Amino acid sequence: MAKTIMIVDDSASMRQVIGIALRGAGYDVLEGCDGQDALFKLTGQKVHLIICDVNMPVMDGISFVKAVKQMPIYKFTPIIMLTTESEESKKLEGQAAGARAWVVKPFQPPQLLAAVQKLCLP
Amino acid sequence: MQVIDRLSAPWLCSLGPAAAGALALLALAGDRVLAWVLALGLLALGLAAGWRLQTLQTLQREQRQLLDHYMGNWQHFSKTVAPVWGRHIESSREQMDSAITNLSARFATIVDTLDATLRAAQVETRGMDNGNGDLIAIFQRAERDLGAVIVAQRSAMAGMHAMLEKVEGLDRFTAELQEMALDVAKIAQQSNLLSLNAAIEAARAGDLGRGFAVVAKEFHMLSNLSANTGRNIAAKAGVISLAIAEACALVQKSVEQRDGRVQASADAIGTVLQDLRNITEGLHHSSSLLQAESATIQGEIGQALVDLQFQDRVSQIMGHVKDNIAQWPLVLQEQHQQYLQTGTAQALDPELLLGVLRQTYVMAEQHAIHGGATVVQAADNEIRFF
Repeated sequence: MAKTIMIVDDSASMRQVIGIALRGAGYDVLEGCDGQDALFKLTGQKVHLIICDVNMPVMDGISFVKAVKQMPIYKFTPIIMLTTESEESKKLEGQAAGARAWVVKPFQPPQLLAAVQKLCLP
Repeated sequence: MQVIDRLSAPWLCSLGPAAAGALALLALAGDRVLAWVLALGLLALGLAAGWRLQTLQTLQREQRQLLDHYMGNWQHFSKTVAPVWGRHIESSREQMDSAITNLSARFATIVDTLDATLRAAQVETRGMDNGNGDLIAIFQRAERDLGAVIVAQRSAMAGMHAMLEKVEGLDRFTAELQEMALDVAKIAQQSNLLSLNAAIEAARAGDLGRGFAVVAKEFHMLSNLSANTGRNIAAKAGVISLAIAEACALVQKSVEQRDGRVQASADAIGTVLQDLRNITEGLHHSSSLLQAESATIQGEIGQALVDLQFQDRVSQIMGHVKDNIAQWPLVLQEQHQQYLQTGTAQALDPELLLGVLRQTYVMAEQHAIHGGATVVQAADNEIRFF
């Protein structure tokens, strides 16, 4: 049974790049084009990990992480922030919101997959 | 009325004090010529000052109108140009987003197809391995099985050779039978001589030899019978010998033909197996090469997809610049409003726009570029675990 990972990014090409890397490693993928869209798609199904961008329209990544952490079923779902944002203050903000890792774009698939394997729920 | 007010103000300011001074001089000095000359001089000075003030005020008003017009023009210019720049940037950004998204989708399809092909090839190979071999192994098994067929045929031929030798060995027994028939004929001949002598001796003995004559007669008949039997045996042995010789010749011919066919089969099988070996080795090599090439292409496309991440960064930077350009008319409008309110034109502060732009930065390279540093390739693989 393949594990499910949600990708939240407003860039369709980024979602595709991340999706290819994850599907190639045997994961199932759910996609959201911003924080709000992703929240709509979290309907109670098992999600083993979330990869989320920070700067997005409608609902940004930090707000999304805070909202996810309020949902009992996804409270312990690990979240990796994957973003171009490299400001230290933003990283601390992400950490405070409940993110487990911060990956700066551009990323290399092997490194991202290593982080995913390290944090993914059993 | 305002125009009159504006026109009279400098005159009042200059002529008022001059007229008051002239009146005061006439009042103090009395009706003297010098007093009148000085009073007229004061009035002339007042007129000159009023004219000068009027000119300066008109000039100032014209300058203010020019500046107001200039600032209005700038504002109009920025309000007209900035949205066009913004639309072009946004259009370029959208086109780039769309193109990169389509490109990455196509790459994704290629990667998926290659992945499916590789998986299918691997499953196929694994299935063949589970079934005791790949193409080479199958060929080797076929070679072994066909070799066994040839060995079986050769073994059968060896059996035929052995049988032929056995049949040829029978001819020796027929020769012995011929000799035995000759021996029987000799015995019959001697018996016949003995019976003839016995008959002669019985005739000489007269009546006393009559019984002996009967024995001699029977003995003669027995010798004749033996002679016939010997001839029959010799005749039959000859027939058998002939039959064996014919059978041996037929079998010999058959064995030679079969030997030839077995050899031809072995040669044909060897040729076919060699051809098969060449084909299977070629196929195996091609298959391995195809898999390796597919994996390489997949890797290259995957890396190209990773490189396409620049779009996300460029799109964000273009968005920030576009938003900043949109702020430009507002800054000019604010400056104009300030001028209209205070009558003083403030110098434009670049930080009004640059400060806002800086606040939008999310990447270290944006700060570097802002500070005039050389653009460097963005570092990747920065991962921090919390």
